[in-house]
Amino acid sequence: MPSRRLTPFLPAIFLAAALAWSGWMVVSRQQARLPGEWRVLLPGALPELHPFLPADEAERQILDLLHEPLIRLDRQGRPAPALAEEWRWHLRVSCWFADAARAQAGRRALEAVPAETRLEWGLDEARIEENALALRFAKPGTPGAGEALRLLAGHSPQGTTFWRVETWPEARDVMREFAAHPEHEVKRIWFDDNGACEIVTTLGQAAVRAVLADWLRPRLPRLPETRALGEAAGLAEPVLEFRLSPSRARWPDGAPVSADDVRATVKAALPLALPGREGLRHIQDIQAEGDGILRVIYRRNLGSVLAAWIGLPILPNAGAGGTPAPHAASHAGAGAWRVARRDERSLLLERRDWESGALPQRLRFFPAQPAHSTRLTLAARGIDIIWPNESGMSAPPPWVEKRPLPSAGQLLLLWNARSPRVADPGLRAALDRMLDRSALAEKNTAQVSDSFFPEGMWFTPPARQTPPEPGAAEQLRNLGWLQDLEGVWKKNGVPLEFTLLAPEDNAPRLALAQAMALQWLDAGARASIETLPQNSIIGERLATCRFDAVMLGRLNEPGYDMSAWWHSGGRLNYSGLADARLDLLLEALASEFDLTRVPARALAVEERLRELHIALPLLADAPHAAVSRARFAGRPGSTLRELLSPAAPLPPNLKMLEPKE
Amino acid sequence: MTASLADTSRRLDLTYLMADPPGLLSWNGLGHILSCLWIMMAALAVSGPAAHGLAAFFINGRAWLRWPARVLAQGLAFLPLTALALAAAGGMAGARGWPVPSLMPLENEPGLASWLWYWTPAVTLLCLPLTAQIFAGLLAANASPRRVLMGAACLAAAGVVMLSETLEILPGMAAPARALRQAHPAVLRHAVAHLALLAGLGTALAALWPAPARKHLISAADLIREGAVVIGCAPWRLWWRHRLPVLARPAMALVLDALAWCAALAGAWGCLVPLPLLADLHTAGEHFLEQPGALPAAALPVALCSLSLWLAARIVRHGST
Repeated sequence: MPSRRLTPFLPAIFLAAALAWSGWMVVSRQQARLPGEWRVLLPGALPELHPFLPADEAERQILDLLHEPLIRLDRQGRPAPALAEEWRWHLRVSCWFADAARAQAGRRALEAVPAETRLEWGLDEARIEENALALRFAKPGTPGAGEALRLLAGHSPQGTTFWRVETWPEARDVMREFAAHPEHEVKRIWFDDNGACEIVTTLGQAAVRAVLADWLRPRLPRLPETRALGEAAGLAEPVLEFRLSPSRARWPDGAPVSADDVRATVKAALPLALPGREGLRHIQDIQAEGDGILRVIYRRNLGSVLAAWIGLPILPNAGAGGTPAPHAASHAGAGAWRVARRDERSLLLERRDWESGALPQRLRFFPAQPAHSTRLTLAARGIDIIWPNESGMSAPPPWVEKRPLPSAGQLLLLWNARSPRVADPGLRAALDRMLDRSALAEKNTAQVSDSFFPEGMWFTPPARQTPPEPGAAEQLRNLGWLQDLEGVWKKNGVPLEFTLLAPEDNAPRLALAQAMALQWLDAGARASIETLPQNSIIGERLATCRFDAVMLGRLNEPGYDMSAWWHSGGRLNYSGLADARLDLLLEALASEFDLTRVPARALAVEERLRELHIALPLLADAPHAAVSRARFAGRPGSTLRELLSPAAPLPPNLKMLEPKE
Repeated sequence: MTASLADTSRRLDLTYLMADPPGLLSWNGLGHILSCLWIMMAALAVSGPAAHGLAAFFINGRAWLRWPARVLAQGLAFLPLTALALAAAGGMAGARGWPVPSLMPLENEPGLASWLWYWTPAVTLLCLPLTAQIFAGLLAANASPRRVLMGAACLAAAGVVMLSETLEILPGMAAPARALRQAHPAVLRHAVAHLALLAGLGTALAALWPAPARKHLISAADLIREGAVVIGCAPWRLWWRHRLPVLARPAMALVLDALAWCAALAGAWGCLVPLPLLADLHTAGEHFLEQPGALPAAALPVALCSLSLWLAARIVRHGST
């Protein structure tokens, strides 16, 4: 009987049928995948989504969708509006009088000044605030402020004295109470990290000492050291004014972004000592005027502090606590996207305004997969963006396109100016010229870094057209070095040798150090590599200036203040550089408020650094994203924000072509 | 400088490997064992009857076809399962763009179709060598179905581990498989224990198959022992002179059989990791997406090598194939 013969094959037939049916269903479902969802493969695990501390570029880009800063960088690396549609600097000068009548008299005197002169001074406004006269000048650093104070000096303003009290952290509350006491006439108080404080008061010098001693003696175990820092007719403070965008500066519940939110954000960010956000430490106060104006008052004349706001996510004030919980992934941001779901396998983001019909409506992020799984997923068109991606991209499939991502950091070769072996700038220049950075970049899938400033910013000096320089050999001969029969450079019998510090816990950097040492050896200089843990390099050797040369990685930050690295008093000046001209250039750059003048000042700093040969920018990383050609045809850019922006219209004379797949 | 995705993958692998493997008696370990067992049993439930049906076709009247069919089936059973699995995955995803859910990070939509699409490809793949192996076993003279099934259960246990590695259907089983690949001592013991437990459970379940009652016969060894006692000779001396040369042939056949399966296992592993003499296979395994058909072709010499050893074992044991 044929039917009985077929009976043993029934399970196999059933299995084949189940396979065919399920395959047909799954494949048709996949083909009908909604265009409203993009799938992104991350370079690592699913991100924690800490708004202030993204672990990598991928997390930073996700956070950029969830949260909005006041200012962000545009594609050209220039500050562009975000929550703030406009911002500008002005100078506020406060001048205190014995009573309101005298302040009024001072104001009348200013009003009597011809309008042309006031315009020349940049004086925008003179306002009475109790017994003080608050002057507003168009820009910080204007000489008109001094002229106005000289004029007011004839109306007997109270002098303003600046004091530094070397207190300790536990004494903070005591000093706050002192400042709040009306009889002490403290106008401003400022605490350093170590607990020391500075106060601005209108009391006379003798009176301050006495009052301070009377206040502190019963409250503190010992009296802190106190000294006067200076005296002035008024207090000048630069003010950064943001005009918030009424349409964009709103939380998911419709409430506007307020000064409280910004203040709470700064409060949450400050203890984290975020790289590139040092400018936040100089904030004296944050005030609001109505719903749309936010004023940030600074205590120092530093234009570079603006950079601290670039890309800083503004978080909603948590209310009673006053501090947001930045690590909470579900924390609502002012961005156009929100976290809809998160589990072990994926992270789902949804548009907040999904009713608008804009596509895509969802972004689904998957953690990194093994290389073969990634290739398979790519082959099945299951992923739209892989990022950053180098695996399997040596021969990318035709439906995938590699696009460059912004560089995240650079690597510097730093010389120690105090080391006797490499103290001569000419010798350092020759050693720099012995290196073939292009070859090093090729080995490390990186690009040659050409500037001391972060890549791609509006102030970064353009790649320079280098004038012909003498080669390393000629340079060394000019300095009195001679090559022996083995090709080693010697001077007075001493071979040209030095030590290069490299981190033992960073294999790629160690390999790079070895490649550099080989290049130097070929050119006749002996570089011995000394390996230490990264923390030991910084904590034990760089901090104490005990090295000849070291490779130092640096993150690309939007700030242009380089004083910490190269100023003689800089916190990170590991090279021991002390150059008066460079210090002046750095100070001028840091205090520049006019963004249009920053590139020229940055160029001057860069040229001086090149003259000193204190460091050599080696490499900058060159990450890539791989995007689906079909999905992103006509959408330029590589970051999520760029890809999500509406597709650019094609020029009318070009015909639309379907991607070939 | 930049952590590449390959680095990340390696890092993830290493992290996974270095993590404590799930204990055999822990819920995870037990869950993995049960999952493996269900795949093995499903594959045996399909391939056992199918192989019986096929064997019946040849046993009843087509005796001249029995030998070539058996050799062909055994050759198919020796084809590395990893090569078949990779070729199938490459054909589905690379050539047709179909999803292979176990290998992709995509979320499975709930439903019967997704569930079936996740498991049935693995069961089907496992059925191929099992059917061939059972079929070849049943065609042998004096074949015991129970022994054939027990052997197939061992093969199924090894096959599940291979599928876990290539298709990652059971993430928990991928760790033992990777341990075998990377020979990490901390997890190797665990992997061997897993494999032994699976094979043991499989054979134990297969042993439940009813076997025909055997007549009690006095064995040759018993006869020799009794004869030695009768003529006053030490039994061990007679066993050494007369019985050992007879036993040497099956022992050598056993060694050849073991070598045949070792070669097949090496072929399976050679698709995934570079092994000496199997560079072509590994290269084909690396390009399974672009040329899925090249992988079984590259695995054919390995299968032929195993088949040759297996035939040699038959010759040594029986004097003919």
